Amino acid sequence: MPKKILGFSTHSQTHEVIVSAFILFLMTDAVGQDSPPPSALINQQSEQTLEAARAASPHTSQSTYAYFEDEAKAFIENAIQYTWDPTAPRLTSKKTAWGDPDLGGYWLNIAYVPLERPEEYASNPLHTQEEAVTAFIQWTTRDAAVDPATVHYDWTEFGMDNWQSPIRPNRRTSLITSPTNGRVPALTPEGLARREAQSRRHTLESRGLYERCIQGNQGPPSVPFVQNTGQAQIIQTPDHVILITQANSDVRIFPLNGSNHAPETIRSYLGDSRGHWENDTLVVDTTNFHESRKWNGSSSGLQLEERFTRVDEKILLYEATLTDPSTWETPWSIEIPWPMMDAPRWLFEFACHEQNYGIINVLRGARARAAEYQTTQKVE
Amino acid sequence: MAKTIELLLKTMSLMSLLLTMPAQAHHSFAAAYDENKPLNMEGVVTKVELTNPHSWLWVDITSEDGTVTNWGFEGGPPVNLFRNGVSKDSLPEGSEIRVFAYQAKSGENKGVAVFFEYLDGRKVFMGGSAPGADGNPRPNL
Repeated sequence: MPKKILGFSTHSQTHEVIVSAFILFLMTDAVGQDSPPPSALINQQSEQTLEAARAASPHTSQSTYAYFEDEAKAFIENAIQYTWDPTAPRLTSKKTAWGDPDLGGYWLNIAYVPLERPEEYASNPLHTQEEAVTAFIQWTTRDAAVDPATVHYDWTEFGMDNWQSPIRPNRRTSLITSPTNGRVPALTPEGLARREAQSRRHTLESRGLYERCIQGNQGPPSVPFVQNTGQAQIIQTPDHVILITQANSDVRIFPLNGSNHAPETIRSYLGDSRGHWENDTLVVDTTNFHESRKWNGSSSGLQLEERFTRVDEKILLYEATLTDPSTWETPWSIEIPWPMMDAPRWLFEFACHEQNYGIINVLRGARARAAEYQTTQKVE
Repeated sequence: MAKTIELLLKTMSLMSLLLTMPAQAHHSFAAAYDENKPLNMEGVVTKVELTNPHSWLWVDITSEDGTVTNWGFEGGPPVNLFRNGVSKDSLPEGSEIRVFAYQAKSGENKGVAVFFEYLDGRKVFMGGSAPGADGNPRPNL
């Protein structure tokens, strides 16, 4: 029976984690007060390191791509028939039994198009149809060809690559539609300081709410992350619309009754939302965000307007405008077409148990790197 | 459709450019695992934990001097495995697998597994009844 070690030597350690030791560990900063910069706490992959890792791997990007090539090509052939064109006329919305636009169902917040417009398309907000398809094929191919030096698992094996979903080509060159350069507006000095203070370090408190299993990573606003967290369900009644995201099973409830926002003293991670209909579009205003929420440096004063429109039988258009003068110099807006999810059309429970191993490994790793950094500094 | 095929071929010739582009980073990995410690191992599955947001496979590894150590390897999210038809019974204890991984920065017997595969080369979570896993396209939109 082949059970030999082919690579590096092993270290025999027992590592049972008891509750008290775990709590002590989380509370203790083993490295001290002289914190290294965040960049010292993450993988620093030189070309030499990457080549060594590729040489050690039993597979190459080419051989991994070959494993999935037929499926990826079949996916592309299907997907390119459904390119999102924001300039095309929109279909009339479906209606619910009580006459509201019908947004109900299972939708996937997902995109290959980057949030910010790449330099090469600086003055070009829209691809041609052919350019959109070409870019889409490149993204898909890159995803299916797993580089063994990524210090990450093979996403395709776990069914979580974007192309293993109903993702579609998009004529837009960035998800940001305003300002017209397709870039996030400049941070104010206060916004810059806040974002730097939010850098992930080697203490528990510095890690994000998603990393700590407190909140999902689907905002608000909902900006695509990876497809396993982008699944969402919308449930409607005449009085409320409910948005459930698979990521951490977050639930947002939008009252439609014209009531006022909660008092300013009541703050929450998901904010306080109120919705109303404007023709075929559900408009949701959200305020009262919690101070400890960390969304790209935004403050608790963020004013968020989101617009949900069913523009096709199987496309829900999501638009959001962020206004936060203490963070960004101007408001900015995004647009993302959410395709209807493939079968099975339901959400799976996302009870997050990162505390089992994940946060322990992250903090131990970060602290080992911090200690190395300090040793190196002393040597120099 | 001929145009489509033409585009595909054009893109495939770009493969060499694409191969060096890093995949999206995920929150846990940048700090926890060591890019300088790739591991190439074969062993026997002792436990499968399908816990969100990361599954964990525990594998007994026998070293050349006969010492057996249990290693834990982090993998992708069970929510996607379930969606693809994988269940808690899909990988029985005792299965012999090959793992290519990166060891935890802490030096413990843990790692993040880039590839899990059976000894005949099939990917551990991409066989059997998983839709799309057998090379057939998924249901169309």
